[in-house]
Amino acid sequence: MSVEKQNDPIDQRDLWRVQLDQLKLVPGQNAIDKDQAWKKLYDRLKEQSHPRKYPIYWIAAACLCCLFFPLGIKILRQEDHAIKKMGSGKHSAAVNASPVFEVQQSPGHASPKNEIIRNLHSDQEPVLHASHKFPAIAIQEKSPAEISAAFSIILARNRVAPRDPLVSGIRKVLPVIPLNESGLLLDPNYSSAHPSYKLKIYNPANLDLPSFADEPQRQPAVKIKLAAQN
Amino acid sequence: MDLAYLIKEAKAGSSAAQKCIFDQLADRMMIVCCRYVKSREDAEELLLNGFYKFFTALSGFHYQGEGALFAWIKKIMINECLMFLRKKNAFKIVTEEEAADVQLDDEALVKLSADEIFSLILLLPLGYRTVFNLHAIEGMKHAEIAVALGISEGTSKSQLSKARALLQKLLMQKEETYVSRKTK
Repeated sequence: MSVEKQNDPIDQRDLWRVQLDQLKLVPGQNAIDKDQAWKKLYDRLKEQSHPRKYPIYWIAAACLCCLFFPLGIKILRQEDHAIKKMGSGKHSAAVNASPVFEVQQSPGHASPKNEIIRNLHSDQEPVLHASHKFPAIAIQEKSPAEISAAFSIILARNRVAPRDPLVSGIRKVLPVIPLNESGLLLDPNYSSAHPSYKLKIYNPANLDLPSFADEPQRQPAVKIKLAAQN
Repeated sequence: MDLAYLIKEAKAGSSAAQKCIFDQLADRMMIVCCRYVKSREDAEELLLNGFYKFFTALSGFHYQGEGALFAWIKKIMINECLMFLRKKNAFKIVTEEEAADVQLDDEALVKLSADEIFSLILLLPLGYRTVFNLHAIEGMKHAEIAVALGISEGTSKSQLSKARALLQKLLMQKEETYVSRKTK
């Protein structure tokens, strides 16, 4: 900097600047047509102050928020409700028979990777750990022998009670594996870390499962989910 | 009209105030643009671009006197000019050997009028002129010029030295013609 200052003293710089600042017009040229230049500038400023595109994007974003926010809340509430239902089942089981239980392929008879989960009583899916998610396939019919050889039932903890009439009926057909409150398997031997397939049994009578006297219109066997096929 | 009041009104969105500011500053800013860009059409376009940026950024500006306002808008104009020249690839200056530093004759400069100084600067080639404008008039350091123009510091110094040498030559020529006219 000091070298620069020596080469180009401040006085000299100021001299040039002061001289040039005295200029009112560009030497040898006419003054610019300010009205015309302002007109051009004003048009550009006006265009900038009324942007056309952005409000459309904001409106679209607001609409999407309005659409998805209640949907998200609804899903969250449904999940909460299902967890609460599992947690409070212990008390309500004797009063209201609305069991939620699942069927899993028996690791004793087939690969432990295989897993079936079934919701016998309702269309509502049981609360499952993330690793229990699987695609769906359908089978027309399976005999009780086939099912009992290949699958076991996963029951919610509140449904493991041996005196529960529904559970005791199923126990005769399939072995039982309990689930904890979070929908995780209580027995670590029944690993759930493998992908699964969903099965649907169209002839639940084959299973000889107990019917629900208080809700005869509901079919007990509705869905079976299979973890993996050999 | 008072510039502080005009700025306040312009910030509030008054186009009349904006026009007043434009009318007051346009000529001076045109001189700045013309120092960097020779073509009048280009200079006018850059002037409008600069004022457009000035008015759109005005809401964030705190008025601290006419000098500060003038410095700010001048900086906007210079940046516009440099951007324009960069886009035109005007600074494809090959690094040259540093020329011997030349001191300009202050006495000769004092004798010159503002018009003559302006004309002398316009006689310089683009590279010399830009570096000379930025260093000798705007007071930028070589490192800053190098960044602004995308050239090396050495090139900036070299361009400045050559610009000074050329200006000195032009000044001497001018003086000679002045003396010869007087003796006649």
